[in-house]
Amino acid sequence: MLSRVAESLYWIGRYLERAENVTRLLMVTTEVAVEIEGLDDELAQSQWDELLAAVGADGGPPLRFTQASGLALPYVQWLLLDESNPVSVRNSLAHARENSRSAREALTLEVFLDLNESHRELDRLSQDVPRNPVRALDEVRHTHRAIRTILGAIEHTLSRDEGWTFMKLGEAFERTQRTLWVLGTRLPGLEELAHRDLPIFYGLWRALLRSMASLENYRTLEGADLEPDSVLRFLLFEPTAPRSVHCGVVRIAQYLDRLPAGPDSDEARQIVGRLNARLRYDSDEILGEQGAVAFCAATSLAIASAHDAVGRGFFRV
Amino acid sequence: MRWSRQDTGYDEILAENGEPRSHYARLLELLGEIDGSELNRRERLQQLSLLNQGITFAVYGDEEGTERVFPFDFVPRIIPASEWSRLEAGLVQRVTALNLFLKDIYGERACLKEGVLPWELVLSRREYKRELLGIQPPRGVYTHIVGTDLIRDDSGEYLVLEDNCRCPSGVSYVIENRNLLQRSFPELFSAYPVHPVETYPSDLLDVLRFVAPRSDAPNPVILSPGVYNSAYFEHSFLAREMGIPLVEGSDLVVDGSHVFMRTTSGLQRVDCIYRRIDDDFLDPLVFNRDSTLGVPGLINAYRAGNVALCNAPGAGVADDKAIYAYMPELIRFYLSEDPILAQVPTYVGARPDDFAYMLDHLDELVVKTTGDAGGYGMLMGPFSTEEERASYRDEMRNNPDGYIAQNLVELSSHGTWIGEEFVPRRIDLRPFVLCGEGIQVLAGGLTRVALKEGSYVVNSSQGGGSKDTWVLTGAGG
Repeated sequence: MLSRVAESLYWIGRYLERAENVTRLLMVTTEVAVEIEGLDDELAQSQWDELLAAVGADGGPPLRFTQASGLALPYVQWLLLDESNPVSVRNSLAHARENSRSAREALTLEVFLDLNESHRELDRLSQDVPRNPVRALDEVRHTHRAIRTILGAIEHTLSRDEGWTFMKLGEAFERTQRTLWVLGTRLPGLEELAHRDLPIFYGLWRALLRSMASLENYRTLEGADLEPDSVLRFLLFEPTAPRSVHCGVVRIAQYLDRLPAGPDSDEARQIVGRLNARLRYDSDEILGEQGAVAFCAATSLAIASAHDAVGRGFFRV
Repeated sequence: MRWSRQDTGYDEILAENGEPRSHYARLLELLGEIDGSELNRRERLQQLSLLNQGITFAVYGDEEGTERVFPFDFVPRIIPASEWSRLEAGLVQRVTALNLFLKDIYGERACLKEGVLPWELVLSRREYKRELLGIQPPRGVYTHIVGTDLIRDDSGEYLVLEDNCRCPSGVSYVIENRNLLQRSFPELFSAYPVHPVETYPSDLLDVLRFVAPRSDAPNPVILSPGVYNSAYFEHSFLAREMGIPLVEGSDLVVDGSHVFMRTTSGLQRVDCIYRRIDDDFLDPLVFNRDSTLGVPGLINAYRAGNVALCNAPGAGVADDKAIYAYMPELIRFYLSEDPILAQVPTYVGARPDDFAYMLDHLDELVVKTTGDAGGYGMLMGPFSTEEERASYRDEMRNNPDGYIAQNLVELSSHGTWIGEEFVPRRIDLRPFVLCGEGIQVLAGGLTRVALKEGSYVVNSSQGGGSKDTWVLTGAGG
């Protein structure tokens, strides 16, 4: 397949995952912040600050979560709609759509239609931004559903060829990175809170699972008990959890194996192969000696170098 | 629902007595059964469907956004079988002659030696490429895809307005308009035997494979300038319909006189390129040095016979508006036949007598520059002001060869749904002709319509829209 088209598909996968991720984190953080607000306003605010850091959207104007500022409204505008925010959902969908235009022949009409439509809806929404926080949140949910529709169209209409593999490879890279960033940003705050006796403490671990769409999956496996150590193990090592780091690394490896061989792509294979082995066999060492936060930082760098090797191997022939 | 006639010119739907022509009678009945608000609703859905599907084109220099929908009017234009078979024969004849002409002027130049048209007229055309003298394109085909613009005079006679032998666009709208109308007005089709148009992509693919040098395992691609080109939708549409790669210049590389594309498994040979890039941008080593759209070395690979280019480079000279004036003689010269299709009498600036006449009668004539397309650089004499004519006249004097003029031909009109009523709007017709092992005319075509009241300009870039064009099968009369 053409290198340029493969690269566009890879980025469509990444941008869609990014859009989905930011939308979901926005929904979950709104709910958890509302829950905390009366108990500890400062902690509610720190949830938002951490969110912006975790998705890489902390470069904008200072935002506050208060009644006066319209509660989550400034965050909805910034994360969902703002064009000056590089990771806003609107920008991610616009980039996905731009890439889909140059890879149009590798997509089905359904995928293109859904993508185009949701992009146009966000454009329309930004012309008429809701002023009521409840309505704004409805729009966030609506957008999340629209993104899931696109993902469903990809799942149901694209043939499992090389193009699809590149798209899923992009998705897996993006998801793994985002899980690592969220863990890396949230864990220090959670560890600190363990020393204070807060009724909301377990609520925050629950929110962490929900922000990775993993609460139900966790309960199925571990029951209702939210033990911090088992939540962390679940999000890092559980191979069946679609947003765990281990699952992400395994998926990257599987997709890479379906693609043509070559020196650069083999380098990417080696990187994820080593990560895979470590996640599988060294969990105690990771959580003990190294520490989860340091592990997330190091793994994120390794994934980034695998991404660079993919670019050299397939896209810049 | 009322239908009104245009005061001037031929009305496609209504005869002089105000009654519908026989092939339109049933259509008017069917549309009459749908009330106005329902028509408006369906029209809105059509518009939305075009936007959501990304069936858009870019308008150059348009600040309000780069993508726009080509407006679609749901009232179909109907061409009876008997009218079509004459058009078809005329187009086959014309494209045959165009190909022979190109083969001649890049080869023996018999038409020049025998004085059918003046040497300097041909040699001075910007589209005449000396670099290509003596090169035979694969299978001897120059114009694989031709879009010929036709209009109808007051009596309903079809006239050729111009030939497009470079990269005629619009065929994607022919197919998409049909899809759209079938979805939004299914009831109209039950009463008419309409020729399908969806066969075009596979016919085009046959042509590309036929001319590919490796006939056992041809690998054709479409070469596009990229997403910002006004016709990008069409490039991508055709690639998808034919199931072949859509490449940009930077995807291709020439090595040892062969063309390759960059793929995720390395370089892969390409041997037929349906290029939607003008000659000047094809190869910076031969034509425009500043071109970043093209492929360095491409013409060399073409010269070596390792790649087919569709249309062949240099073919654009055949649709030059000054050459057009000589087409009737060229048809007689090459085919020893009279032209089946008439064309608009044309004054050529390169002929001194004609030029003098043009300067004196600017207020009666439509004057066009010979190299441009898309309605750019044109003066509509009868609608122009004295100042416009004066400054145009000055420009003409600088380069008489660059102009031709024609009397204003009244375009035919066709009922079109605008606002809340069916009103007459002027239209033209662009059929598409494929030239491979044989010559094939797509039974249909792009009917463009000037949506502004009184306007003659049908170009998409200047306020035009389009209609579905129905060619009826023999059974439909």
